[in-house]
Amino acid sequence: MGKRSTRKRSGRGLTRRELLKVAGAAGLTGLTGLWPAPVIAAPAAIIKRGGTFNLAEVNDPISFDPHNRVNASATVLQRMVYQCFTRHNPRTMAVEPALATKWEYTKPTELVWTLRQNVVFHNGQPFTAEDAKWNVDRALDPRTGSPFAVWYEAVEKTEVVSRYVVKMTLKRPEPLLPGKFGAMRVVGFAPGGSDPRSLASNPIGTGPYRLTEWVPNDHCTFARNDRYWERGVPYMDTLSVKFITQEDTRIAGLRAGAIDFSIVSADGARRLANSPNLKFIKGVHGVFTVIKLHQRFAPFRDRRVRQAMNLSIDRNEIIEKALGGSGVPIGPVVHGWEDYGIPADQLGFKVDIDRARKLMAEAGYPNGFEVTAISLPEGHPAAFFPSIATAAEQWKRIGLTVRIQQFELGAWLQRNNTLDYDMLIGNRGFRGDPIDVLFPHYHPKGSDNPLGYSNSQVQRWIEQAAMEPDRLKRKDMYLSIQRKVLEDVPWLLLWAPIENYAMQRYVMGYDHVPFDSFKDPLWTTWLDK
Amino acid sequence: MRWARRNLVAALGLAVVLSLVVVAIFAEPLSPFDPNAQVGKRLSPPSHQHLLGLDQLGRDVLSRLIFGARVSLVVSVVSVGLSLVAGVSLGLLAGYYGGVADNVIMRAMDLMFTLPSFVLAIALAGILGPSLTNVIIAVAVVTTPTIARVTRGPVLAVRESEFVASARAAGAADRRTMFRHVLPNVAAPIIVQATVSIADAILIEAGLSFLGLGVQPPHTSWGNMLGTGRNFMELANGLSVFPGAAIMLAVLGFNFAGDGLRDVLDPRLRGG
Amino acid sequence: MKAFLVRRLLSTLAAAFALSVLIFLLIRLVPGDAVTMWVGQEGTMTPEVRATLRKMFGLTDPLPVQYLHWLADVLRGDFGYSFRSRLPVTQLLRRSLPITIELAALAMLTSAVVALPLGIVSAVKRNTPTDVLARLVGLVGLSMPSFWLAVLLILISATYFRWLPSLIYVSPWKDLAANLGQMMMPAFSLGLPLMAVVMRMTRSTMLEVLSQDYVRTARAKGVAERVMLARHALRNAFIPIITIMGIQLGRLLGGAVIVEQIFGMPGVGTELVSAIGERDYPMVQATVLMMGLLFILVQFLVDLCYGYLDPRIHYG
Repeated sequence: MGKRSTRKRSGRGLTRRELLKVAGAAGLTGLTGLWPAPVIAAPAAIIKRGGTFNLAEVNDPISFDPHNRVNASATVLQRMVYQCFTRHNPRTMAVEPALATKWEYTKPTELVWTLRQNVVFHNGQPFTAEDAKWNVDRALDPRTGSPFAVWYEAVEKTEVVSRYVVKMTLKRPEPLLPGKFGAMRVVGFAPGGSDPRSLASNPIGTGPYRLTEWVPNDHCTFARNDRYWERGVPYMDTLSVKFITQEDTRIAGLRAGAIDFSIVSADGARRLANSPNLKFIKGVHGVFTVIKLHQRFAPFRDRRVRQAMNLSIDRNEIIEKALGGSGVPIGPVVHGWEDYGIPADQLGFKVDIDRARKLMAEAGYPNGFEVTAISLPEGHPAAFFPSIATAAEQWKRIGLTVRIQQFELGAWLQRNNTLDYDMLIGNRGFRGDPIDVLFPHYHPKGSDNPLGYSNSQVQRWIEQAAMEPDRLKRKDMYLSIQRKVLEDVPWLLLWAPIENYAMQRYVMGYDHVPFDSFKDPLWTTWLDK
Repeated sequence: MRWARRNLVAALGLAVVLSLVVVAIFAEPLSPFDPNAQVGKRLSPPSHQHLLGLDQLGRDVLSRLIFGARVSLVVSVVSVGLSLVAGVSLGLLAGYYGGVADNVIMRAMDLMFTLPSFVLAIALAGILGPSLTNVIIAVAVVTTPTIARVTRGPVLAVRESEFVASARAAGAADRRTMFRHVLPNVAAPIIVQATVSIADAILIEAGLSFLGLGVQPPHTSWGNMLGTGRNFMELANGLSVFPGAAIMLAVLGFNFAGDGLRDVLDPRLRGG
Repeated sequence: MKAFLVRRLLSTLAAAFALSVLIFLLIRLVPGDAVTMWVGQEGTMTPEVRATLRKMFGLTDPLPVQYLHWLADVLRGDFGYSFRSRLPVTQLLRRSLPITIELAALAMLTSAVVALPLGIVSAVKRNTPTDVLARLVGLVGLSMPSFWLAVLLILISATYFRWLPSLIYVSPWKDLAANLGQMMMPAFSLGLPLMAVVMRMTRSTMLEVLSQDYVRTARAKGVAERVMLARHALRNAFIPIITIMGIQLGRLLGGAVIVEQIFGMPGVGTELVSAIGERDYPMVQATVLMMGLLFILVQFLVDLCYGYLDPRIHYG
């Protein structure tokens, strides 16, 4: 079961003193009357409120059902509309209050949420504990069919204690639960008793914007929520989100001024570099790309083979070829996520072909071997194909021949989810806490552990960390896990992308790329025109 | 004079087609590098060593263009070949027997027409696994209806003609009549259509590549190169201009050669 | 004539039925299903939940049963609900189909309107600079992949003219000018290959007609050039031109998919591509069926035109 802390776990966001410091630094004394307030403080400048923001997204969100995230675009846009108990600070990923002002473990298996008062849904209905209960219940109900309900499966039942207090009874201690409710993969709060089918196209939430128009495959329009509980935000009146799958068109739109803001690839940013009307930001995105190795392919079961493969790929060259240089090598936890990850320069990746060849010979493959790898198509923005193609070129040096098969997304997903491959290139995304990236991949019972990797020490650390309420102790365990995993090479970690965003010069206040790529900074963005 | 000029154009077309065939057959000795080998810094401009530069993975563009000729040619010729077999048979049957057979076959052809090539390509790629063969099949299916239609028309006309009537009166079997008497007389428009279809097939493959359904590595096609190359416009224009120009040249070449064939085989066919 | 119509109707229904079975089977044979897409890469599902979802989508019934359910609904006018968005398919199609139809129609219209006069002028003023220029444009249209053309148009317009039409779709009922401005570049990219083919065809037909005996006789008699052109030449040219347009319509619908993707237009092409990617069976089946019926309808109209234009053809 692991250590059980007798200290009560509670979170209250910033104390008044801390907030005053932040607000003072930002020069916005007007906000100090609020508590708690968003840590995203607007820069000290004259903010022009109002206006319409033209944002380009790649894909249509398909559905606004708050309990079934459909795709990445849906998650980003749903966050404009829906909120949950907690959320993550866009800069540090620390867990913050949102619709819950306070949470505390009265027992290790009992979590009590105190909800924010005087919050109103877009339709005017007040937000109360009944609503919170309804949403959690629906999200966890197997009949809803949410693929993320399993994250919260420690929750046994949710009860309304009073108008603004909710009590969750857990099946077992789970100190990381509050953070999970902030990742907003599954649970967004809508008014209790809503018809889910109606919510899918007419979402009603508590967020800073509400959806006013949606033409599938064309655009979404969001209007400012005038009754939003965080005073003073958002600044812009209307968000107009156009869906454009082709980067060429987004580039043209940015050049012509039809689009105010869009993600671009590194090469795209280079193409736009000499546009006088644009400026750029970039930042690491917490999704990492990895070459997965399956135990059914005999050579992979030998650690020496895996280490040889690891020593003969040049990650910098892969990043250069696949991402135009816009990426960083990563360990099992992407660095930048609070302080849980190991920075790139301390990861210890190196290229040593001689040693690699020796290892291969020792393992019984002096002439290498042939293997088939599954990838997405060449032009896909995830940049899988250029990565594996470059790795394949590099592996020729140790006699490894890789035959790459390009699969369309659905077919690729099928193979990936059923672990039906010898080698596959894929990626894994951000979670509420590193445990959600460490457990599935490095625990023998994990759902995405194609090698069947099993190390008793790592397994113990993972199980302990899942129960550990002290963040710093958890961090130490995470770091130990990562160091061991880097030695054992259960799969080949490649890179995390540095995302590039291009925007018109008059777009102010969006000055960093959130680690999870959610567009929360839009709430404090304004247009200087 | 018109004849001479038209002949010049057709001769040019034929020259282009022949050069393509030569390049396709002799790709290995002609190509300076392995088309899939990453030989240098990505997006390098043309240089002495790499006449057309390097692409986004550092692969030699000229080599890829040469091998691309082989793939584009194989895909278009083989798929049209397949659709000739299917289309001519169906067109013969429809035109010769007329009536219900004609109706059914022509509606089926309409059907094949409406199935966009990419729907079929995705299905095939998914079911059978991605490969060159699937692209060929998808393109063949899309081209068959045109061939069938082009065959059927003249067959309908010839059917009523004297020598067919006399052959039947003499008791000749249907199949024999079809092949011995009808087909040679309608061969001309079919052959012309075949060259045009080959040109079309190159464009269809380009479109499939744009949607990510074209040929797979280690094969390279021009359509594939153009599809990925367009993301690097302004950074390395050659990546799209060279395969694009190659596609246009090949398509025009086949079209002109087809025109020339039409003039040679039957000058009356110009009206189509 | 009536017999012809009845026969055509029956064969159309048979074709529609065959098409629906074909697409029904094809899309189900592709690996991955809606539930796989639902789970995505990062979700996990217990086998029970997976079974529940599959049941919800009707994927657990045997194939013939699934098909019959769908057919029964369709005959009642109900195309079902999109697996992913849970919106009614009819509603989605009602929004997207007109956009593609408008695009295809504009493409055909512009290409005909440009190609016919150009072809005629080209033939009449043979080998003048106008002829050469027209033929050059025709060559480009014939051989340039349409997606490349579309991309070049967008980039040139944005980079050198700093202008793009509204990226968000505007209905012609709301603002015709804005709608046409939007449709301009896509219709042109889509229609240029067709324009090239029609222009060549017109030109060669006209050249042939102009060299006919009766034309020379008419000229010798002094009949006005224009009258003669109109009455004889065009009439003869129309049949092959209409044939071509009928044949090219299939290609046009396929090309529309690519053009819609590039210009970000919410037409039926974009919808079909994303529905296939999502394995949204009701959406795919309904869309392909609609496109098929549309195509067959146009073919029928083309055949009727034949009957009108060429007295030798009769439908009995």
